[in-house]
Amino acid sequence: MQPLFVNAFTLVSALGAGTDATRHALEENRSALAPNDFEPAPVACHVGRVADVEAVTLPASLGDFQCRNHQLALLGLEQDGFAHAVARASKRYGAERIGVFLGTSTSGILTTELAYRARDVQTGALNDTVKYAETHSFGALSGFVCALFALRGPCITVSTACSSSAKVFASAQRSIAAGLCDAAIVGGVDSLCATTLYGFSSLQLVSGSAARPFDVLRDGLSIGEAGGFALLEREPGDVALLGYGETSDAYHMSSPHPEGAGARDAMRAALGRAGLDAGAIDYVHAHGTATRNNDSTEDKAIAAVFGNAVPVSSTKGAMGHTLGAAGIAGAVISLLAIRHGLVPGTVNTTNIDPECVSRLQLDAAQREVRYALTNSFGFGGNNCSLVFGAMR
Amino acid sequence: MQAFLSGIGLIAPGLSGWEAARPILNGEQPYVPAPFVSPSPQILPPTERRRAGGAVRLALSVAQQAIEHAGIPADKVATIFATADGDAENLHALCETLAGDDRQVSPTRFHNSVQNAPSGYWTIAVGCHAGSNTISAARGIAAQGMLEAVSQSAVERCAVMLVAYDLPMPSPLDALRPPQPPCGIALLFTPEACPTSLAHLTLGLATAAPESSLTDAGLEALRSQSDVGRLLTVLSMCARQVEGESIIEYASGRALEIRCAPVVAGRAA
Repeated sequence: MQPLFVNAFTLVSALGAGTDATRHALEENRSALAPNDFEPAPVACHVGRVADVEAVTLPASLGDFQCRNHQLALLGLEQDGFAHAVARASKRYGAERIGVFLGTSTSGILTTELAYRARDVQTGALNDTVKYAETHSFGALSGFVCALFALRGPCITVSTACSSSAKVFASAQRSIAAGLCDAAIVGGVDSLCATTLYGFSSLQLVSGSAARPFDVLRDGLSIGEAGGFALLEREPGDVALLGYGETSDAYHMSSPHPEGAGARDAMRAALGRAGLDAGAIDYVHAHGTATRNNDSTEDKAIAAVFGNAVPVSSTKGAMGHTLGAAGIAGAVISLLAIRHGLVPGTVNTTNIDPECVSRLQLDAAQREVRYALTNSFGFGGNNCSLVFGAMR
Repeated sequence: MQAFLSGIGLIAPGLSGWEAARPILNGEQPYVPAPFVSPSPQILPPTERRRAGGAVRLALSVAQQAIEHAGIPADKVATIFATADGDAENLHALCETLAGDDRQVSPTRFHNSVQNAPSGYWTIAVGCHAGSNTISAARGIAAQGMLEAVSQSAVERCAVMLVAYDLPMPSPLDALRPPQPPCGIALLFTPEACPTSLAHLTLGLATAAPESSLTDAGLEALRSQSDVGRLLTVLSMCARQVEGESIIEYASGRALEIRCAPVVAGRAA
């Protein structure tokens, strides 16, 4: 596969706004998980909430897009000079030659949830200020970003649960390879809402405290929110997307394949497209949600591909499971690992499950990382692995 | 950006499957709007079939039609599910529960709320390990889905099936967008011609232009009111076995141009 250089990228999560804040938090083994204080959904659990999302103001001309998800998107786009990088790319290639490929599983569903709580008592009607197409509709995120930057190239919103903002890298690569665009904005945003907090609780997948991936006492995930973006192009830079792998478990809607077969095949496919042997990878960023099932099956899958040769960590004890944004979060963390020679640890985890056979890294370490692989696995058995590498 | 259209699934009011719809779409028979009957996809095991909501039933039924038409094993075909509104029945029930005093949603209701639930049910039902995508948009969903499916087929050199579906939303959600009729269309693309190939399609993005329309007033109403139904102009060209071009609204002031050339006996004409 032809590499695509990642010449700009950014992330906002509970760890902080921007890649410097993210990296310092990882270096210092900090967790940003805290008791849930999200008023619309006061489920007793820990969450990775992003500070000051409520204060973000959308441009007046885009007022119809007002919702938490887009506030979080804008907060992310304003970090690391990313918005400027987009503007430069648009000038360079033309607005019609920039693709937008974004993932979300929540979109602006919170606005509809809140509207249901305020239904007309007589008629059951929703408040007519609800702007469904611009907020809750799943196309709204890419619509918002296209409108914000006046972009007119190919655009889609991917919604495959927790693999959404990883799969967008694959779509973008194909679109550039097909000549539909010359550069692409990829990424994703998911925000706190009642659906995910109550929903994951109903499946008994939520930790009673702060998630501890791969820990022998792990008892579930902690939900987080995040917004991340990357700019992909052929213009050479220091880091690049080298491969992707996409598979389906064909097993169960909310449990992974017991041997992690789909996950294993997604990793192998990504390595294949990158033209790399497993031995070349210096770091694996696991999906590592801290549920009993995900971590044990993913461990088997990672070990099947890498043995115990490669350091593996999960950052979901640090920022929470950001669902539709988990893919881009893993991508940005992998890119930081490469650029800064940093292997993140598995924050919150104290005793690695003795049944785990892959090489789990508990504390952050300084190490050269030339190639990194990141996993994202979604409901319905939807798997996506990405490989990134240093190019200079 | 090109591919062969090698399998079709179609369920919409008055259009039940490609074989029955073809003479209607090519003008040989009149279009008679008929009430939509929610299909029952045999591909789903009986328990799932009984429990499946309308969106899953529609998506999987047209997917099954297209796979059977193409005669390609389903477990080898990558899929792209495309929908504007997803499973709105499920969404409504979910939001009602979340607005109540007891916010305990059922686990099934929750895992069915992910936009890619039909993709999950499909891949499980047919044992497909190939990648599957689910994309969402509003008016541009037909064009976005087609472009995504054809590019994947062309770049990865594999069979890719687009499964586009939408249903009217239940009240009170139906007040949030223009009403639309139910419509499910599945298009299976192959990078090379195969025995079932009907047309060779070439796609490109262009500046927005008036969309192509259909001459029959009833079909045109279906096409213009249904986001997914925008694909009917492509199916009409296939039905008429003519060379032609179709323009479908994309997004951001762009349109998708689709040039269609008929294929005879598995070879480009």
